[in-house]
Amino acid sequence: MSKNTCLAALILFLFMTGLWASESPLSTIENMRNRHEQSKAFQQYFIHNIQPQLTAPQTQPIDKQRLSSLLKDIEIIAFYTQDKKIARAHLDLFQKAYKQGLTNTDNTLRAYGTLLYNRLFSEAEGFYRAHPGSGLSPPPVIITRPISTFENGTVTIYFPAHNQPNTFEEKAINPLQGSFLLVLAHPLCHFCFRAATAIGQNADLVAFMKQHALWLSPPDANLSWQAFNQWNQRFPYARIKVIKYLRDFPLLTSWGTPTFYVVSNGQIVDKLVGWPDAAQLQKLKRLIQKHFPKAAPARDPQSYSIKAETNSAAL
Amino acid sequence: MKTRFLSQLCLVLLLAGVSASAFGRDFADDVIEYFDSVMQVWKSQRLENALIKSPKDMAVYASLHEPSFPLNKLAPDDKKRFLDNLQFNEKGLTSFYYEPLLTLEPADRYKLLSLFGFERLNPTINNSRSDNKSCIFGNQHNKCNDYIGYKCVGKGTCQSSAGFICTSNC
Repeated sequence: MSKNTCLAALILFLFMTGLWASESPLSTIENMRNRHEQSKAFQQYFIHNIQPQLTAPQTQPIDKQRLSSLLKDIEIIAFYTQDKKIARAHLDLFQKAYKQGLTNTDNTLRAYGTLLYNRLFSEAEGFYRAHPGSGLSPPPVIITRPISTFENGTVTIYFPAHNQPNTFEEKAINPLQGSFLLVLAHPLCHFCFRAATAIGQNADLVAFMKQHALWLSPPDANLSWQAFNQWNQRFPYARIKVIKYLRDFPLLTSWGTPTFYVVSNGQIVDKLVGWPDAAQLQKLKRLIQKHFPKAAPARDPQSYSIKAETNSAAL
Repeated sequence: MKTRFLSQLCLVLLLAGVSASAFGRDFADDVIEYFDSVMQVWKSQRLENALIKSPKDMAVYASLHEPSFPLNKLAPDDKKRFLDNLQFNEKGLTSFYYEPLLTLEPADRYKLLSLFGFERLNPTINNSRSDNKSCIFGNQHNKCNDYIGYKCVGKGTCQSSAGFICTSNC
């Protein structure tokens, strides 16, 4: 028997005898890198392992230990899935645990974060009012406008409103049209901060960003207008808008920040991931020169600025 | 000089582990006291002189069964999850799962975080779910180099992950 066969047999034996100390299924899913696949895996886990426990007819109330354990699991699942059904199940379970005195501030913040992440703003408003003194920030106001035409590929994103505190405007964009640089970033990400700062020191890059880049934040529970507004004031050439739903961007499999995706007619043709050091600036310049050779360097940054303002208003 | 000192410290830590079980508590207490005094000196020097900068360093520390060590005050499941989710690169700790640390007393949490040079994260972890405001906002942004609720997924890249912190080493 070869060495490999022996090893395989040993692993099989350990699995069969339960001696293999494997990680929990939730941890395995948590470690998946592709967010779309991860989200689907969590949804499946919820359907097969959590939902039956929640919907089974209860002859007596769920005991405290089981309730705590279920709450812990659903908190993890809800963190990674934008699924309103799961978010509402999380809220229901939280309310049950809350009534039994099993929740702490952390659980409260998580349940609230789930509502924000799933864009359930009216529920978030009710939750915020019901839990004063829990350290919750008020939910943002979302201004929605009727969108007359929905082309293929049109998605909605949130624009932090300039002069209206805690307010986001919902607008439609088509992220698949044309060629542009899609930058995934978040105002609380220190590497994004370094990237935006480095870009800001180069007039050509600033001009390029204003005309050809779309800075988007991945959806998470941190929908803090203050953070986005401060970032956008500091880096006007890199104004970050917020993705409403992860599923609207199936092309993006990696959601690390910062990531610079070159998008051309609905396809990702190249990317630059991360900002570990200053050398990344040269890589970004090369990426832009390679894919946007016609993007002329700025002769007069001021004129680009005015044009870009018009462009971003149109976005 | 620093390498020599690190080697000596590792040796002392190993001795502490052995002695705690073989010679009783007194000698181990002395070693822990020594360890604490070293930490006091190194605290001021922060990250660049962190004690634990690799899985190997961590293994040495995790092998010490002294009950007063903060790591050993974690429940077994929490300890396992904390240890399993530590990520390092050549600079040191890049990501860790902070949730188990919420069960520790703030002083113990501080002590444990300072082993990695990240004691500054103690208040951030305390306020972990309240928008990161304590660290990130205003002109302090450039001083805040750790991304809460995110995990290091590549050089200089963090991805949203429940209960993790993506550190400046990423």
